[in-house]
Amino acid sequence: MKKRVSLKSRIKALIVDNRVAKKFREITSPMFQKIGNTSKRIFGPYFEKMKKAFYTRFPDGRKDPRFSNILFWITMALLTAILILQPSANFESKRLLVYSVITKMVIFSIMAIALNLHTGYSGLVNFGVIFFAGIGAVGTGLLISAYGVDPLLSIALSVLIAVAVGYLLSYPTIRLRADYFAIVTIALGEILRLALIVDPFLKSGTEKANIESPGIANIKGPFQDWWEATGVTMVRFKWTGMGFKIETYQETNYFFFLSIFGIILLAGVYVFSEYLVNSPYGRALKGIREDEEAVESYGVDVFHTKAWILGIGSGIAALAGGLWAWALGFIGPSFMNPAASTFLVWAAFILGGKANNKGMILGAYIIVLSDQTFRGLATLSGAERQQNIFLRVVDDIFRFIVVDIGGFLFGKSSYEDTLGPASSIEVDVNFLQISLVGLIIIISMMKFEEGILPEIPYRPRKIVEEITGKTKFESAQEASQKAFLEAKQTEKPGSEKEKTGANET
Amino acid sequence: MMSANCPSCGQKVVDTMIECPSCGADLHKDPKLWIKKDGDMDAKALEIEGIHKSFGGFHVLKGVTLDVEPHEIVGLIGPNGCGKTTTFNVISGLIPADSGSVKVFGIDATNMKPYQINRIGLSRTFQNTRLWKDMTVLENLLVPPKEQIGFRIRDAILRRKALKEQERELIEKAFSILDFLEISHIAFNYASELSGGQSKLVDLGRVLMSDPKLLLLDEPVAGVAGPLANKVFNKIHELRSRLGISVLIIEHNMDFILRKGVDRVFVMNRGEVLVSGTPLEIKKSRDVIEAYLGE
Ligand SMILES: Nc1ncnc2c1ncn2[C@@H]1O[C@H](COP(=O)(O)OP(=O)(O)OP(=O)(O)O)[C@@H](O)[C@H]1O
Ligand SMILES: [Mg+2]
Repeated sequence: MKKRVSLKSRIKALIVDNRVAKKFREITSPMFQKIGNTSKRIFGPYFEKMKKAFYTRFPDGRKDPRFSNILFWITMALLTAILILQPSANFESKRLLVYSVITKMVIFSIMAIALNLHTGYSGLVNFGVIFFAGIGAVGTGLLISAYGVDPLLSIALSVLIAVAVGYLLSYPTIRLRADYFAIVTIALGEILRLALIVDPFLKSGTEKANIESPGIANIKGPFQDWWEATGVTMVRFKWTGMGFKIETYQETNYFFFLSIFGIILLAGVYVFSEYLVNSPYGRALKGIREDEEAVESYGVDVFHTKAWILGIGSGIAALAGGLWAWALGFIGPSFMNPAASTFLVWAAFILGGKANNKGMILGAYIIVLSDQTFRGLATLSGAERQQNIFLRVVDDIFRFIVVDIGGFLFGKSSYEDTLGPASSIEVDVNFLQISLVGLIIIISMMKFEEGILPEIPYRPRKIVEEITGKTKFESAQEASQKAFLEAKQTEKPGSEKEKTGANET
Repeated sequence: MMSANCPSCGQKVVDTMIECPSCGADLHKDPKLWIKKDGDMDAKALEIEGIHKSFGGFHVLKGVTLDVEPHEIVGLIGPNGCGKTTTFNVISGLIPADSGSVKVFGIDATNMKPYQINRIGLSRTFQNTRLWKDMTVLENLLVPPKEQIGFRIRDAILRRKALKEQERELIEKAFSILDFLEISHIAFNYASELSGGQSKLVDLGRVLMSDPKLLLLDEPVAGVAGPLANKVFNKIHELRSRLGISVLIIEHNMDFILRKGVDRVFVMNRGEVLVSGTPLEIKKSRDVIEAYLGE
C-alpha cells in the first residue's frame, strides 16, 4: 500500500515537477545555447539586416497588402507546379487531372469566398455553405435536365433563387446569436441532403435517371456537346529525347472548358467581393462582426445590411454549386456530404486566412490539391502501396497503435478478430484524409489563427501621407524610438561607457 | 437643426434624416423641404418623460424624466447601478422602454430603432467604449459618417470613382478630428491595441464623425488620467461653441462634474431623478448629499 502511494507520488513528481525534462534541459541547454550563439554570431547580422530591409519595405509584414499579394502569387505558382508534377499514366490523364483539379479549386474558392462574406467579414457563422451551394446545384441540375433550360440561364436563375432564399432566411434568424445561427445553417444543409435521398422528384430527378440510385442525372454544361465533338486545337512541345518537337492535338475534354470558364467566373466573383468589402458597406459589415449594437447606434440599418450579405453570399455559393453540377453531370446526395464539402470549405477558409479573399483562393487550392493527392493514394494497393513511403510510414504508425498498444492493453484477439493478422492491417486513406483535414483545422485554429494570408488592416498610407505629411502615422513608439536613437547618437561617449559596463558583468 | 413635415405622410422630420422614420420616404434629396421656421429652434434637443423599465422583476427605471435644451451641456450623475446607462440605452433605442416617451428635437423617437434615432442627429458613446476591435482606429472613424455613397451595394460596386473621392474627404475629416483630440499618431493602430484613455478618445472621435446634433456621453473620462480628463471636458465645451451641439454627459464623480461648467445637472438615485438644477443649486441640495452619503 505504502509503496504504491510512493510510486504514485514519484510519478506525480516526475510529471508535475517535470524532473526528466529538467534534467534533459540541464544537459542540452548549454549545447543549444552554444549552437544558437554561434549561429547568431555568424548569421545574426545578415538575418537582422534582412529583417530590417523586409520591414522597411513592408511595415505590416504579412498584413501588408503588397507582400500579401506577393506571397499569394508565389504560393499559387508553387501549388500549380505541384499540380503539374503530379504523377499520372499519360499525357491524356495528366490533362484531365490538371483541369479537374483547377475546376474543383475554382468551385471551392467561390464557396470559400461566399463563406468569407458571411463568416469572415460579417460574423455570421455559417456551417451550411453546402446548403446554399446545394440550391445552386440542384436548381441548375433540375432546370437543365428536367426542363431543358439553357445551362447559363439555369445557373443565373438558381443564383437568383439562392439570393432570395438567403435574404428571406434573415427574417427568422436575424435575432439569433452566432452559435444558434450556425446550428440553423447545419440543419438546412442536412434537410436538403436528406431531401435528395427521399424526395421522389429529386430522387428520380428525371425520367431518364436511374430510380435505383437517387440523384439528378444528365446535367449538361454550356456548349458541352459542341465542345466534346469539336474542341479546340492546342499546341504542345514534346520532348523527344533529342529536342523539342511541336505537336498539335485536339482538346475535347470538357473540364478544360470548365476550368477556363470557372477561372473567369472566379475572377468576377473575386472583384465583386473585393469591391463590396472595401466599400462603406463592407466597413459596416466588419463593424457588425465586431459589435453589432455599436454599428446600429451609428446609423447603420443592421437588419438589411445583414439580410443583403446573407443573400449575396448564398447567391455566390449557389454559383459554385451550379458549376459543380456542370462538372459532375450528376447530382446525388453524396456530393452534399459534409465531410466532402462544408468541412473542406471551412478548412480552406481557416487555412487561407479569414477576411481575405485571396486567402480563400489559396486555401481552396491547397485543400483541393491535397484532396486530389489522397484520392490518388487511395487507389493504390498491394505492391504499389508498399512502395509508397508515405503510406508505409502511416501504416507502420497505425499498426503500432493497433497491434502493439491496443494488443498490449486489450489482448491480441481484440484486433485479430476484427482486422485480421497484423501484417494485413492498413489505414483507410479516405479516413486518414478526413482526420488530417480535421487536424489542420484544429492546429491552424490554435497556432495559426490568422491563416496564411491574414486580414489586411485598413491603412491607406498613400492617401494619409498626401493629406497629413509623413510623420502623422508614425506610431508613438516609432517616434520615441527615433528620438531615443537620435539622443544616443549625439551622446556617443555615454553610450560607450554603458557598453563596457555591460561587458564587465 | 431645421425641421419640416414629410412631404408624403406629414410626420415631423429634421434635416439630418435620410429617410422619413414613419413612411420611409427619401428626404435628403429634396432641398425645398428645408424651409426654416421660427418655432424650430424652440424644440428641445431631448425630452424624455416617465420612462419605466424593468428587467424581469427588477424595476430599474421608475419614471425618469429629463430634458436637454439646444446648445446645452447637461450632466447626469448618480451612484453605481442607479440606472444612468439604462436611461441612455432607452433613449438611443437599444432597449425598449416599458412605458414613457422619448422626443429628440421634437420628434417622437420612443419606438424608433437605434439607427433611425442616430439619423435624427443623436449619437452616443458607450461606457465600455465598444470600439470595433479588429479594425484600425481610422477605419473605426469611417463607419459613422452619414449619407456615404457606398452604403448601398449598387453604389459600392458601380460608383468606384465617387467612392474614392469620398474616401479621401472622409479621411481628411477623420484626421482633423484625430488632430483635434491629439491622437492622430494612433490612426493606424488596431482599436484593440489602445489603452483605456485612448479608447475613450477614439470613441469620442467616432461619435464626432457622425455629425451629431445631440451627444450622449457615457462616462467619457472614466479611467482617463486627470489632466487628460480636463482636456476632454475642455474639448466638449469647445465643440459646443464651435458646432452648437447639445450634450448629455453621464459622470459618477459628482465633484468633478460640478466643477466642469455644465449648465444643468440631473441627479439620479435608484431609477429616479432626485433633483435637477444648476451646479450651484445641486451643491446646496441636501437630498443629493443624502443619496451619496446617507443610509
Ligand atoms: N440588460 C440588463 N438585464 C438585467 N439587469 C440590467 C440590465 N442592464 C442593467 N441592469 C441593471 O440595472 C441597474 C442599473 O444599471 P445601469 O447600467 O443603468 O447603472 P449605471 O447607473 O449606469 O451604473 P454605473 O455608474 O455603474 O455605470 C443595475 O443594477 C443593473 O444590474
Ligand atoms: Mg453606467
